[in-house]
Amino acid sequence: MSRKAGHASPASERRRGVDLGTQVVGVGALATLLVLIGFGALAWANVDARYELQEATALLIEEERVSNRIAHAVIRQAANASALGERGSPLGEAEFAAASQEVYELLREYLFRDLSPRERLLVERMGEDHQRLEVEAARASNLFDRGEYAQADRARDQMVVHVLSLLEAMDEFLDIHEEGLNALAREQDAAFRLIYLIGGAVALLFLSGTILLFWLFRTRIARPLQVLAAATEKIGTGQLDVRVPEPPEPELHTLATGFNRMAENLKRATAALEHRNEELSTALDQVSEAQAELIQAEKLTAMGRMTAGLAHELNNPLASIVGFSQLLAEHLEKQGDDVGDEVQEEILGPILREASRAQHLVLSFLNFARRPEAAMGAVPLAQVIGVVQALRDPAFRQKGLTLVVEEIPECDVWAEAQMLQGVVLNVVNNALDAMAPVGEGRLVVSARLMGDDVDLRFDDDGPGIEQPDRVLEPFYTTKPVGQGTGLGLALVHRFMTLFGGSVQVENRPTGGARVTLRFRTTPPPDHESRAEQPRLRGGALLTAAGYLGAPSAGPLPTPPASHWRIGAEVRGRAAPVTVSQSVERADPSRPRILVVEDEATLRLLHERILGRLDALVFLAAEGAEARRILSEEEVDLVLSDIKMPGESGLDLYRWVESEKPELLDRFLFVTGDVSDPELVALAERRPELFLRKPFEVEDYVARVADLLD
Amino acid sequence: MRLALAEDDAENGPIAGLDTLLILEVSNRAGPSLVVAQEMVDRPGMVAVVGHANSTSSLATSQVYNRHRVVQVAPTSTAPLFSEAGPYSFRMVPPDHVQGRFLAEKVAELAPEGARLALYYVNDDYGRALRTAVLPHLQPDRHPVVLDLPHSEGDVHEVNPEELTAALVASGAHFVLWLGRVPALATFLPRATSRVAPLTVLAGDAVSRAHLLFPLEGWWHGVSYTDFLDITATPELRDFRRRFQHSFDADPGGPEALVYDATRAILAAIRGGARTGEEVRRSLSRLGAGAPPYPGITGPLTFDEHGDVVRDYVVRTIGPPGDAP
Repeated sequence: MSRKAGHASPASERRRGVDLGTQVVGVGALATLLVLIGFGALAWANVDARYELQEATALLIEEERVSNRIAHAVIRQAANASALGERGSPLGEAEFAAASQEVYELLREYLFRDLSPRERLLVERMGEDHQRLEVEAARASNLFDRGEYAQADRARDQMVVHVLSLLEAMDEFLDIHEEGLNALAREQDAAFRLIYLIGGAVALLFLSGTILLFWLFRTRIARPLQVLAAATEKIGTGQLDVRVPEPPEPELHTLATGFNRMAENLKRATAALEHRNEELSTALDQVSEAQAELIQAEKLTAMGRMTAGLAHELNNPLASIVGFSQLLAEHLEKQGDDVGDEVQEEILGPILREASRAQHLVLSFLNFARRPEAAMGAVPLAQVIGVVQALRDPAFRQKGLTLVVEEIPECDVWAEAQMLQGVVLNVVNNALDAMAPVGEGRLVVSARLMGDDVDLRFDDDGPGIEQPDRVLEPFYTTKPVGQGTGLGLALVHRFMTLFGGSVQVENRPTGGARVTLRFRTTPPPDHESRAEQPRLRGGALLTAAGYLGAPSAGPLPTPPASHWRIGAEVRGRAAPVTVSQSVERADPSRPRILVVEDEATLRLLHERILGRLDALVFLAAEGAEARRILSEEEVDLVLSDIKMPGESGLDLYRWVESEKPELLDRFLFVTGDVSDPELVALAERRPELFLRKPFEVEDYVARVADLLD
Repeated sequence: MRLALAEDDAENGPIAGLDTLLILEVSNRAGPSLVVAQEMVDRPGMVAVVGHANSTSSLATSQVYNRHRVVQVAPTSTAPLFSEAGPYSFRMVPPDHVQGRFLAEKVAELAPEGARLALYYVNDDYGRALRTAVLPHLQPDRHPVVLDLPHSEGDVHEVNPEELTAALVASGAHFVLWLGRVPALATFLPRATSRVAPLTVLAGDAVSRAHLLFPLEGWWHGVSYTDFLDITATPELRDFRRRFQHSFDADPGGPEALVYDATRAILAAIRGGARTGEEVRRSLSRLGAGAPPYPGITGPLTFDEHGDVVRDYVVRTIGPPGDAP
């Protein structure tokens, strides 16, 4: 929402409309005022009309009472006067006078009343008639007294005339009042009609006010609130784009503006939350992957420790088996009979072959367990593919298969050259082994650039992979027993991880398997931290040996006959082996060699082999004895195992370094394991100090001879 | 009244916008007086009226004037009820209870011991009120009332002098206390004096204007009557009499002097700034009560809380023919 729409100034809000509360209060106050005025007018008209009517009615009643009293008094006077003559004396004079005074006073009551001129004239006429009545009564009385009866009768007749005139005037007076009352009643009728009219007007006004209020409430309050409620409902269902119109009333305008602002903020917050959720999900996936890798790494590390120790323990017996078998073969060969040849061919041959396979197996274990310090850098991918193609293309053709390498883009990938060759070779060998039973298959190697990455794809048309998700696990193999270690693709995965890349193994929809290696063309982000890692971790073994061919996952190659017959070719140096465990003076020309080995069998093998060199051999089973011999005897060469109970071979080397430094150049470690970091460093600095177990007798003799020379 | 207007105009200059209406209204019946009164109040700007001539008329019209807030100054109305007529009602003569006591005193002076009294009264507000006022003060043991006879004066033909005289003769009275007006007395006197001799007549104030209405024949001689003042008693009154005679070629009585003073007092109020009936009423009410009495020819003029003037009566006796009263 724009600032203009969302943050209107107070002045613009004032311009939008009158305050809603003011509108409602104003209309309500106006309606109430109108109703009050109406009811006030009604009350006034009603009260005034009632008052006037009551007053007029009371006045009329009072006047009728007065009139009745006047009439009654006048009739009494008339009757009294009429009786004068009959009684013959003015007997009723007092009564007459009393009635006269009463009439006079009653008529005077009218004097100060609010009368119309006509009424006042009638009152005065009544007074005059009454006065004349009295005068005539007095006349009649006097005339009777004087015996003038005729005139007295006329006077009485005049009395009647005046009485009738008085009553006539009184009737007229009352008629006037009655007419006044009727007029008042008509006025009151008119007043009531006015009341009804005003009441109707008030009701109409009230109804109008109510309708107006209802309209105001509906249009200005209810409807915007309904819209707001519907919008809130939509917001609740996740429709965050909904907005409400902004009414002109300040309160609802503020509410709608706030709602729209809230919806906008909610939308932004939700988007940010979703984005963070995606990031978190990605991070979680990465963590999961990292965790899986960590577990895999820990697994491999543990396995490395185990295999390293196992390899060491196996190397010693293997060294004995290989050494003594070679010695036996030489011995039989020297005898030269058929039996010897048969034994050599049918018995020693398999022993040496199997020992050699065991030797390669142990070597594979050690290679798996080690974490070599790779010289990571940019490696031409096409060049590596070319090397592997040259190596394995004959094997494919030999099996009737085809290795097709499509055009590889000229690009460098982040790897270590030897390890990369091993990776590619392992994948190619795996495909070769998998496709072999089928025959006439093709393995197509292709590569394509994927941004900063390069995908190297191996597609074969073999039988596919039974469990693609497990093939990267160590020791998982589908090959027959003795034909695979289950470490090939595990090593591929490990090396690819070191390269900062990845491995994906899957079955192709059209049949066959697909292995995709994704390489980085640039160093991974954690390259520096990886470079700073310790070069040795978890007892992994680092050797100066090359990688290519060492960790083969395929069938171990059968060593050539010359390989295990090499000892028989040592010539001119063969001499009886002198085995001595005590200090013995002998020919000073004979080489004096100290063998330090905790295993008795291996001490015997050393003694036998060194017998070829006519050496005087001193045998020591531990470091302390070796130091004693070195302190007491002249020794030309020291052959020492490393891992021994008590002092190690390295301890002995340090002692020699300090006590017999002249022997440092003639010190040879004969060992199957170089797991100590100090040894690793020493091996890198002086590889000539190490002879690996199991060794070939020829190599052994040659190395010793070189040192003695 | 005309003389008062003229002299005030001559002395003080004309009053701007002053409108005067002079109506001769001497009826002793309420009907004609009410018609006149209604005509008066219907005139725009009417603030004061001097009138009417008798109590009946004044009482009947008083409510008309009070309702319209027009000041009424009755020059000769004595009916006691007039004191209660209203705040706008003033009169220049004392009420009847004063005259009644005065008349009783004069009866005691003029009537010989044991003289029989014949009381004639006009049976209207005037006569009845005056009769009611005088009766309590008479001394029946010294002067018994042997005739108490009402009569009507609405029409002169209503008066039957023969019957009045016959009643007098029958009563044996030689002293007449006349509480009626001049016309009736004028018809009664010749017969009464011829039938009863000697005859002493004492009349009320209504007779004070007899010389203006009738030629005072011989039978008028010796008739005494109460008057509001003696027109020759003070230099101011004598001078007024002279001016009056000069202007109208007639002798003024007390009522003329009272009308003169009433008119001049109202004109003085108007010249004092009164422009409405209410203002005139306040001005008259303050005379002698916060404001100095008006210096009239009849003496200092003040009114009590009922609007009644504060003054006393005098008795005058009609002399032989040719004498001025």
